[in-house]
Amino acid sequence: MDVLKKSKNVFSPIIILLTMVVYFCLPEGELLASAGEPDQEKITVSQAVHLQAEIENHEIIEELYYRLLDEKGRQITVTGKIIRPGDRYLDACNNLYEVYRVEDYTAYARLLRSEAISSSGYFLEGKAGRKPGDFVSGFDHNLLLENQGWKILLGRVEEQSAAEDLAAAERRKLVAIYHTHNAESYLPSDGTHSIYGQGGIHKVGQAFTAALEEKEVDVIHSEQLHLPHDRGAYRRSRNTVLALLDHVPDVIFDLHRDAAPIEEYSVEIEGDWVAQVQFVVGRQNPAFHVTRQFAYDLKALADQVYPGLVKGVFMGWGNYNQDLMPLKLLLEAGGHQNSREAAKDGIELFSDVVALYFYGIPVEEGQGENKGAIRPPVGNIEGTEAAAAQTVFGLILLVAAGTGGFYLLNNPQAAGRIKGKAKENLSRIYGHVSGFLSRLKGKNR
Amino acid sequence: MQAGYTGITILIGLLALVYLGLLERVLERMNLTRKTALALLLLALLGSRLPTVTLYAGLSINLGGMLVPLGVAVYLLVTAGTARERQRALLTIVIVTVIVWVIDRLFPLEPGLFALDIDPLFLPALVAAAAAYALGRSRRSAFIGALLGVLLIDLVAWGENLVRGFRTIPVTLGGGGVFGAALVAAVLAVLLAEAVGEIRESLHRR
Repeated sequence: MDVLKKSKNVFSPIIILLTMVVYFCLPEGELLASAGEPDQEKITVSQAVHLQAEIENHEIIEELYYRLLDEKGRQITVTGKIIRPGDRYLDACNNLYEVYRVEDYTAYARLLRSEAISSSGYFLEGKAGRKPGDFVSGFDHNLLLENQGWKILLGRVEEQSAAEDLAAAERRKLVAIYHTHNAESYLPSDGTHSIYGQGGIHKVGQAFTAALEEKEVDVIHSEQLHLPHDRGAYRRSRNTVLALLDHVPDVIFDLHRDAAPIEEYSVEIEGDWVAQVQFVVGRQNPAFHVTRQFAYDLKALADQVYPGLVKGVFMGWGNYNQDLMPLKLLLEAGGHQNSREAAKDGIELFSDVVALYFYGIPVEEGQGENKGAIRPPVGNIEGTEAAAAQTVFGLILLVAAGTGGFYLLNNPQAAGRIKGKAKENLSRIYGHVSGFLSRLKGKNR
Repeated sequence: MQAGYTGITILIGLLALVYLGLLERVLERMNLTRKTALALLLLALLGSRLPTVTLYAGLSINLGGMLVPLGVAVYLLVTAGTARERQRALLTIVIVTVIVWVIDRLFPLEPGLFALDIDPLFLPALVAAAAAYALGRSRRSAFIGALLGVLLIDLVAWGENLVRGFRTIPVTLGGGGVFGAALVAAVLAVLLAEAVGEIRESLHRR
């Protein structure tokens, strides 16, 4: 009977596992199709309704933003996001700050360290004995294939069979984009910061999509609405993320814009003023370390390709549905005071970084001064993979501790039994060891 | 996803597995036998893969994500031992709906104003667990309150879109299936109520 009971206990996780396999293998239902191009009525700007944004409506109008200051009172960033103690911010120069006090709209942060993210990761220097400058400036098909398979190049390009080449070249490239806060808009271009329906942010998403598609990267751009424009939109957009996940994208971007003064997100890159992009990573996410590492890696590459394009990484008090997929970032494409055109220009440059990071697609010739050095495909996700392995290990420990703790809470007598047995075993081991030592002493004499 | 994402793929699978394991345990704690709990979990999972059913003006339901948990909630309400227990469960639903809706609408879009101002995904669970425990130390009420609270808030959102004149903005009740916000809230609410209850009872025994 005991064996039967035990086998039943094993049976349940197996059923769950099998069901999961069936779940993930089943063909798409209508739910999935709804993530694509929903049949929604077109909402015009004339129907615009002013709504709250990250900070509230009156705060945007009165330009009451959160200011993050360092210990010497120097301004680190200004944002519409609520800042609270414990939040962290990695600035454009990779200085990592932690917020320790918030008074009204001013947050104070201390410098934790300068993250050495630029020197690690992408270029095969150190690992492969090559520096960025060693790469040829033209399109190197072998390198592309190598990195599409996520391998490290070891000194020379290894020969691959024609079939392998073809398979690697045909490996699909898929990026998913959606907008939790559909209403977000750009004041100078849209005439308002918020449109009830498809706000200006959708057009920035379309520009992002077009830029990636130009590089032959497939994109699912979900324009699903999650209105009303409130905090509950994150719960409703979870359905969209799950639907997008059914297509197994390499990465998911939730595209937003911040509420911030124009100068906060403006940067001159190669002679053009564009709106910067900021990454947001949620701290209430079991895979936080993985998503953070991914954000760091992507920023490191962006810093090499277009220095200054990525404004920073904000690690805030939220989840942002990042628990569903570690390679999922919330992007702030400029602030509401930037023009939509500047946000589009910024996100188009960012698409170069994404294409290079994931697929090794080289940045076009003639863009920038140092592009020859960073043209080769990269896509090294070792850091993110290592963070994932650590999280898996931590999760297993947590589940074991949780199960054990729960068992002991429900069976107080079991704790006594375990304690007794442990004592008994320890004293037996002690007896064996002391006996062995005394025999050893006797022999020596 | 690219080949070579082994760690990330294992992590996603493990997170899903842990969540489904918790969901099964939670269903078991709802006065269901192990077999019934497993059968319901299967139904919910497989039902999530069926096409959503459109009801009216953008409102639709996910069969696995809504009907199965809703059935469990109704069963729990009907089989509640006393009328008082039923009232407590209904009151929990009202509390969750009102508090979460107010915070959704009146608070800034991102959480973080105060210590318990948590992500909108987890907030209904926290409110339901607190309300259910305060009203009658009931795990059932936590489940019912969180699940129906989230569904009702979605219904209110749909109503608001209608009032504003937008009749095709999609709102799916139970959308996302077993991994959707409603069921996540219900599972976390029961686990929270359970954890608090077990710790308190354990301290009391000593």
